[in-house]
Amino acid sequence: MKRTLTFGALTAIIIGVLVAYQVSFIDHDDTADIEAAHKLNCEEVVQEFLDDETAATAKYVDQILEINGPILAIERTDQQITSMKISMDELYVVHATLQNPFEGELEENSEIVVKGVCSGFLGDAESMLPGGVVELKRGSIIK
Amino acid sequence: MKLLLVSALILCSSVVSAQGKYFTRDGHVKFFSATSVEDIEARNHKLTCVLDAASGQFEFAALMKSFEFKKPLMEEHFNENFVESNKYPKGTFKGSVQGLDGIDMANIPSGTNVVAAGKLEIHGVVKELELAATIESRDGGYAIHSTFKIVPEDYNIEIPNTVRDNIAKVVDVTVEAQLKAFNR
Repeated sequence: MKRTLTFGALTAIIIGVLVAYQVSFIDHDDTADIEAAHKLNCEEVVQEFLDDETAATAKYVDQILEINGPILAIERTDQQITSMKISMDELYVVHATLQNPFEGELEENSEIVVKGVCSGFLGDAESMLPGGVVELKRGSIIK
Repeated sequence: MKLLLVSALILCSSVVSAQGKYFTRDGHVKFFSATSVEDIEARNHKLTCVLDAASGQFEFAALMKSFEFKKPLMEEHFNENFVESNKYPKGTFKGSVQGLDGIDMANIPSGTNVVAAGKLEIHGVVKELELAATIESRDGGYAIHSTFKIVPEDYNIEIPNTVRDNIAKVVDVTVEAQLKAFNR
């Protein structure tokens, strides 16, 4: 009986350690493999946050959004594209950082579709600057 | 005479352009916590930063949920347990850059030291801070760089005992922004 209990406790500890190890070192899910919860145009989503930030936050934050619109600006690190702003107006934009750097070519003003996890809306510094940014992280280029 | 007039016009236009607002929506902010157990780093590449070159008024803001960590568990702990991002979604600094009076704003040399004095708000707690920074004229705007330290406890960020040894008592923060002219 004592031996069974000891064996059971040891097994539980080993399983616990393995689970904790796996949870600690697991990577982020690949956004490209996950279905978007909402598909929108960049202007629509920015406008929704401007109209009612609380409602839009509840609806979109932590969700995967698929956003389409024109590329306003591209940011590169080591010649690879790491983030982009999608909009026709630099003050009202969707800003997406990519989960994996993109090695292909993209041109400003061309249409793009990007999927990413919405982290919210930054209207600050509202006292000095109009507009706002809907932010996506771990983005993936769809087309 | 014509040359003098053109020179005067160029000088005037540079002075006028140097007196407006300058901004970016894609500044960088990074924090780094180093302990003997582990190093933790998070980066946010969507910092909004604004400088009024005439008054020195200076602000930056970042969404807490836009900080990206290498491991999802770290990101989850950061947002849910430490900074409570759903309740306090933004971190902001509002203040002014001091010591600009004697500086030619149209041509600030590289590595010019300034101090940004103001209020840093994180986790709903506001603290007066003086941030040492460098500023320089670059690409028709300004490049700003600042490194400073924050103590999570000062902002009522509670670290559970189970991970207390994993998180530094003092966290290094780096802010970098390339500001461009706001032309509206």
